[in-house]
Amino acid sequence: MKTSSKSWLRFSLQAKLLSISFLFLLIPWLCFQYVLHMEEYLRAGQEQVVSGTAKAVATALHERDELFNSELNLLPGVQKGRDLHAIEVQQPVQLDGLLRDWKQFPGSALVYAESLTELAKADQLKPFTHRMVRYQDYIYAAFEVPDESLVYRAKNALAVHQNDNFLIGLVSKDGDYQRYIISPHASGWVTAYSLSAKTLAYEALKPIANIQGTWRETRGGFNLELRIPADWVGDKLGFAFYDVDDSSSRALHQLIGTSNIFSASGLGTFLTSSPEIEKILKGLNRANLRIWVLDQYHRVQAKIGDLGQLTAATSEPESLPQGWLLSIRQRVLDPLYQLILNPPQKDFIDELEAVTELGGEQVEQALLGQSAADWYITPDDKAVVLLAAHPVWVGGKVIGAVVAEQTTHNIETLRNQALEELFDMILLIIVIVTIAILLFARQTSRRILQLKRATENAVDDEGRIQATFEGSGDSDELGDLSRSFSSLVKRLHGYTQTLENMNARLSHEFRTPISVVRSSLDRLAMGELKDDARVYVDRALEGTHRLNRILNQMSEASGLEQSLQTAENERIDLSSLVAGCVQGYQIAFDEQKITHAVVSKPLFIAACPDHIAQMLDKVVSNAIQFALPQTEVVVKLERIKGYARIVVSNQGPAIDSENSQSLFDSMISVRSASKDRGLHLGLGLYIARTITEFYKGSIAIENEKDASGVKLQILLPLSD
Amino acid sequence: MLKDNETNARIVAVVEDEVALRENYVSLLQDYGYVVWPFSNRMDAMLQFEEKLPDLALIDIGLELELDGGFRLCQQIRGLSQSLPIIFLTARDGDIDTISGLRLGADDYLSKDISLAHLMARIEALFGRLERQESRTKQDDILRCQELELDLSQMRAQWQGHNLSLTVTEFWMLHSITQRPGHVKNREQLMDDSKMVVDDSTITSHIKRIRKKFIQIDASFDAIETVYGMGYRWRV
Repeated sequence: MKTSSKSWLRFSLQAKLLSISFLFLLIPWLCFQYVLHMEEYLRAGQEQVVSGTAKAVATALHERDELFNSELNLLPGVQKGRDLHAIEVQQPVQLDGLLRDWKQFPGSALVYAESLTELAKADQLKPFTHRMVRYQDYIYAAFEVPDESLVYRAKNALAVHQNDNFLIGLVSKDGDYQRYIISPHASGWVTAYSLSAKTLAYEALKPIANIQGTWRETRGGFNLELRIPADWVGDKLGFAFYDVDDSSSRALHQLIGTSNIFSASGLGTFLTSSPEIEKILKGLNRANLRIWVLDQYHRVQAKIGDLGQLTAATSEPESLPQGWLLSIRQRVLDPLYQLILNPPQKDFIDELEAVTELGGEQVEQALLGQSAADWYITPDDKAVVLLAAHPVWVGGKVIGAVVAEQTTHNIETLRNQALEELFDMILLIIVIVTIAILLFARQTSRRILQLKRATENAVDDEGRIQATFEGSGDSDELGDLSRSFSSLVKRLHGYTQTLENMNARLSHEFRTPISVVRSSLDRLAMGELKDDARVYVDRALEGTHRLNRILNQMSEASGLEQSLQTAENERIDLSSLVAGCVQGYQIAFDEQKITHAVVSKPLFIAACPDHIAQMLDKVVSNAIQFALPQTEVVVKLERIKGYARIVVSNQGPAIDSENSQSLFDSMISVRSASKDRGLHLGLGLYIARTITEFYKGSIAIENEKDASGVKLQILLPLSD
Repeated sequence: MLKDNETNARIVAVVEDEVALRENYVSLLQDYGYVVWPFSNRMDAMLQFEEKLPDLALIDIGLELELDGGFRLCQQIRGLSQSLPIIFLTARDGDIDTISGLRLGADDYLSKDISLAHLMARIEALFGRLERQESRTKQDDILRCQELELDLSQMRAQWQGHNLSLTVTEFWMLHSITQRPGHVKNREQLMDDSKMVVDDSTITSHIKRIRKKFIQIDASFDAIETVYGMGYRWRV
């Protein structure tokens, strides 16, 4: 009857509730979505702020064209290469001609190949490369010049142009056109000479100590590093290489320049970061922001701020849980958050940090007169930068643009903080709720199991109610269930008792009417009767006699329980009891051959001998009832471990082995071909089993292997 | 109604609520020459008994509404007379044990299964005992077996000089066993000798009660031996 509880296979109530609690994981997802939305709003806000900043800076620069390079606007256009641009650097330049220190500076060297004369054909030109920076009060220029035959100025030569030399042309801040020449006697430290500005002649006037540098021979030519005081250079600047290859003729081989240095108008423009604009920008300096000011040719006029540094300004979350919670959070959750939240990286590559020119769609739009803003991702995918550009107007003309940049790091940091705090709380809540659910499920299933056990214990293997139980006092549904089970079991108990008493009641109720019939028949039989009438009276008497025996058997079965309870056990020798009984059966059933094999040893059991004899009566008479004529009923007694085994076998019809155990139930008689020798109510084996089980033994019936008969076996525990 | 007061005929009171059964008993007893007082309940019977006692009371246990009216009647009769023979007629097997437990002082109890012939034999035996008591007959009706003395005329038994208060059935059973000491009497024989028709377990419980009565006098009594599967014998 008991349900086998394979708890490891079942999907228990606890597991079900637990799996439902996994739905709580939707909450962090929801929060995540919400915070992402928040992030979008924040970004939109940031865009407005950054655009506003760009606009504010631009407003400050409107109509202040004096801040921008003055002649710039007059020029029809700026040609890349002709126009020189020196960016501001923070590291000094060593004038050693090695050009190694230039590598740290941003921007690439420009190649110049514009011939200023007709001497060399374009395909024979040997272009040189050029770079320029500004450090403090000087402008530094570096040239890398290919020249297979270097021709230096002769030692005593007055002429400065009969050898390889460098020409510098510029317009000073006062608007004066000046020319200088570097014409070295040898590789090494060089100083410039001023040239007469009015003529094209190469007439060195005086050495200019402020324009100095190093001329260093290289494998394929020479390098030249120069410095010029920044104050001297106005809007225009140009360099040219005067190449002399033949040391004997010392004639000009080719002349290559950044621009035409022979007139003020021919010179290319020169730009350097505008100190005035930078001053203004400093006034507008905002944390977390990088602001560029560009002229209309995309060149950087001024720059302030740094994207890389700004992200450092992240504040730690203030209210952290203390103690072990904190350590758990740090050890377990933080790495998890790192994994999920993709925290902003401080070491991203900022490709724009040192550019001298700024392009891009937004800048183009701003220079066309429209402000624009957009996001871009750094090339290493580590940061997202917001870029906003706004035009600067002078008299209805765009003369430049202001570009403001900001990374989204602050927003991301904010987002991550919010998410972390939310996740902390949610995790805490989930853990608490899950534990609560688990405890609740445990409690519930414990109560259900309790009810299950109580119910199972109430009913024995045969389905009889053995004991009732009290329902639980809880007021919930399980309490109701428990109480209704309890009352159900009690009612069933009452019904079972009624059924069990039925035998006794029936036999009692039948007895009186049978007595009436019996006594009436007796009275009839005592009087004078015709012969044929007597036959019927006798038959009727026989019938009542049989009815009485049936009633007696029934009351024997129902009275047995009571009889067993009141019996007094004694230590009896089963072997002599069985021997005695079999002797008795041999006398009583003289038509049936009964043999027995009893072990000689005494086998002591603790029992009431009357009951054991009653049990033997039943099983032997059952065997005799089904034994074939002229066959033997064998009663065997032997000792098996702690048990005495009685085997009663007979030859006769087989039993249905599937029903073998139900044969021991009351009123069951399965074998069909029984000899009609007396009554067979099927109570005999029921009584035998009741007795056996009362003495903690067992009883089983089975067919012989060759199906020739039936073997009934009783095991009774031996007493010590 | 009770006209036979002056005659010598014995009066038998039949207290039985089942009319048909009562009428059968009444007609049977009348055929045997007894005067019969039929009653259907305890109150009617007691009304009469308080006026005059019968010579024998045949009482059913369940009487109309009183499930144990017979027991109460028995007690009430004993309050009136200690010697009036009382026979219970019972339909219930369990009642026999109850009676024995209650020690109500009935002289016998018979199952309603019993045939009328058997019933009459028992009644006759009881009256015979009474008659013999009255006439104080000869000594040779006394059967001796070891320390047991059975006075057949008075239906009295003594063990080691002490009286054994046996019912009639028990007396005849003991008599049957002791007639031939050492020989086994099987259940059928015991039934015949004690003139009753009951099942095996009833015989077993009768034997148990007899043993107990002996043991009350003599704790070491073990003369009545069970031969399992066969019956009982008097140990020699």
